[in-house]
Amino acid sequence: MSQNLKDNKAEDGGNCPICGYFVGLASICPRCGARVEKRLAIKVARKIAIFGSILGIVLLWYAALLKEPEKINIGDISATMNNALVEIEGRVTSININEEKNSLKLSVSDGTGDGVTINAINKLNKFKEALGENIPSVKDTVRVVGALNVSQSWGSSMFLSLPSRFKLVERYEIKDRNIGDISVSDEGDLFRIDATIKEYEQFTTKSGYLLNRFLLADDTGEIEMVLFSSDFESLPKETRYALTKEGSRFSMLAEVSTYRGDPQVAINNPSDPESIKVLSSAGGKMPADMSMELKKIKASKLTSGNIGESFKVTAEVEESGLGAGGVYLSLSGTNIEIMITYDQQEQIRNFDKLNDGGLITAPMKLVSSDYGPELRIIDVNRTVVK
Amino acid sequence: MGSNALTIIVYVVLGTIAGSILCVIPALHIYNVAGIAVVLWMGTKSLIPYYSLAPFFMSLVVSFAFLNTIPRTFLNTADESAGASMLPSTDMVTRGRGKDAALMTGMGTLAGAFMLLVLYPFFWFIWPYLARVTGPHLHWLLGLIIVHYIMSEWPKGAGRGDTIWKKFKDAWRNVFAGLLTFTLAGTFGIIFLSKPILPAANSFQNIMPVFIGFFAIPSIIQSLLSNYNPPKQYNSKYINADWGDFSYGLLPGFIGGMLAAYLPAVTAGIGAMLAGHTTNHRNLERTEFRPPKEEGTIIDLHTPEMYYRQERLFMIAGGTIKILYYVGAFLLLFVLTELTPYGTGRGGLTFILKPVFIAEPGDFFVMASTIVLSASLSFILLTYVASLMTKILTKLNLKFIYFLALVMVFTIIYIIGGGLMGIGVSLITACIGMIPVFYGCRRSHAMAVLLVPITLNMAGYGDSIIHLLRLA
Repeated sequence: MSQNLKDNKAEDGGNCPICGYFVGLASICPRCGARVEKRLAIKVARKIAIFGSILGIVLLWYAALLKEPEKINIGDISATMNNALVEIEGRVTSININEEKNSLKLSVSDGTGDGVTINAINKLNKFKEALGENIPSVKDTVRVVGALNVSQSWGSSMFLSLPSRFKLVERYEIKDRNIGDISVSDEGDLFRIDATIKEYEQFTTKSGYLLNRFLLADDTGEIEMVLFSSDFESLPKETRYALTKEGSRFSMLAEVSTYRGDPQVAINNPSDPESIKVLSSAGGKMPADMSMELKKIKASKLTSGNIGESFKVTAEVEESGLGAGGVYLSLSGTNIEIMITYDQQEQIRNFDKLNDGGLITAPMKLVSSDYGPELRIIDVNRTVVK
Repeated sequence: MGSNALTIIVYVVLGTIAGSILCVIPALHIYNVAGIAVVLWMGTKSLIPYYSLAPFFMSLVVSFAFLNTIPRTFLNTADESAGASMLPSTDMVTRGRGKDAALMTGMGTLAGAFMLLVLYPFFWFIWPYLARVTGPHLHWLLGLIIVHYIMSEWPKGAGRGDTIWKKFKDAWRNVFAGLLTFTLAGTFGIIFLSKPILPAANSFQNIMPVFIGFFAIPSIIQSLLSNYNPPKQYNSKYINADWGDFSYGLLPGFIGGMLAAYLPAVTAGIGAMLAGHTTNHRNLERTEFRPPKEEGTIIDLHTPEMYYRQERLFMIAGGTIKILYYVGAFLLLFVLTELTPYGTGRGGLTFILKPVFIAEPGDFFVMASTIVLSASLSFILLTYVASLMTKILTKLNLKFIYFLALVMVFTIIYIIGGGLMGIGVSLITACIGMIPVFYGCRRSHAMAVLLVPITLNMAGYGDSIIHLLRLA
């Protein structure tokens, strides 16, 4: 045995079998401390390292091939599941198709939790090509396999890159419904209704949000519809104008909810042009600029007495800063700030100009916040930055 | 506010002490500890107030950046950032200068901690632009790093042997070992990240068994096999470096540290290599054989002083890189500007805390203060622990310690790293991680596990590879 070891050492030219350092007759390498004479054991370790790693990768691939992602309920998602490859099945509650960015974004809920956002970033065309007619719509039931991304900032989301990991389980059939037939038992359902505007009013909640309330009617009954200002603003100009005029008629996709025990509806996915169509407008021709109806005012002229009122405000920005929920613009000549949400920020052209000061003109409402009066943009599409 | 500040200080001190104690355990990485701590915190949220959560974890990582120098230097256990300071420190331990090595690295780390403060204007006024400009180009930047990294694994052998094949094998062994390690680790990464096989419940730690396998287990096995037997250590009151060394060492430290803190999958080891290649143009004088100094004695191998200086700079820069990599990467999460509204934080701690924590404007200064306090305490602890190690190193039963460390890492994997499946994964990566150990190439080649899949995904080829492997 010792003869074999000696032969092995001579064969290696007196080099350390680990680091290659010349060791001469030494039994321990002076550089790395490895034993030179026990070469047989090191050879075995080397073989284990190489064959073990190749075999291991083959086994890993085979295990991955057989692996069925765990099916979970959305309500069971926890922080420790970040990065997990899982399968969820639920209804699409909203869908956002961005052709420009080639992106598809879905919200899916299975009734057990807050819902999961599914992001297929820069993959829209690929999904269209692979899914064809099976591109999902709101209320469809879908099954998705993807890697969970659990974040305190964004909640639960899932990255979806492969169309093969997406399946349309059941297409939701949207039925026509008379208003009088809608009841609280329809909560969560989506119907197509033809409705006439019977009443319209705009009011502000205690927390400062601008709401639009409508009373819709047809031959069979009446029902209330409420739209947040952000939803209202996402509608086309003509539709917005017609909605404010009593007697206008619409065909719309209405989602049923309940409020204090009574059914009410909301326009489903207002940014989708198919969601609401004007059948007849009672207001005649729409003015060229709807915001002309708002009184023009400089921000420096506003006082706390104007809280709750809307204006077409022009303001000179001194500086911008980040805060809870969005960007805050400090204005010259007044302590009132403008709060712009990140979503609005993305939609405002030339917003970056405001970083170094600038002029902003927009339809805004003065609301009361925890930090005093605050301006909020009510129509981002008519916001101009210079 | 005052009581909140006091509470934060208490948790920073606690985090520093906890991190310091745990980090001297060989092969235990702070991210393993952080993972367990997050799970505990989620169970009993009253354990740490929310506003103290980030400072507590930051102090854990700061103390790790300092105190993990101890097991790395004295106990010969390396992790993925060991390339930044490992080799010279091992050499110094064999010459009885382990304390010198630990403190030189520690002072580099301390300098890095203060550098993070001095860099405040850079972080807020320049960094967001750099991050914004480089963001869309990361895929090809990472591609260049991969190419440079592989090419720089040049033949290290002397080409000795009695046949051409043996000469070739001796000279090129490490190059092919590096290529093999890189290829295997990259392949592993593509499969593992495309379709993780570990249970979903603890997926936030699913990369942990992979790294323990790549770095911790081979280090322990190497130490067990090599009969590591360090000599008696000197307990000097001086550090073998002057202020000039620190001023030289901070530049590569900054370059390597920022590269590692920002670029995905680029660790301190890779950052150190890149920084070294960028800045190391001063050592033009080579070692040479000279005639014997006295007649009848052996030939004199002359080593220029510059060589020793390079060794010192390597240690100092390594320490700086470590803290910029571990701590700086997390600190960047708090640089909330209009260009970077969600920060540019990267690294293990950012990933672990993301589901339970959100950075808010104003937090940066709390975290910067945390770093100063924790770094100062950690360095003081490092000096004492290094002195202690000089006294007890030769008395320690190292084989028993390594064995315990092996049991401990497998236990951690079993509990939060995916059970038996996690252990299986760690054994596969341990096999890959042993190739550099036994064939003498760089261990950071194993980082291809992240570099390759991230680069392919960023370049838009990830899906095609998944289809090729039939994992869609």
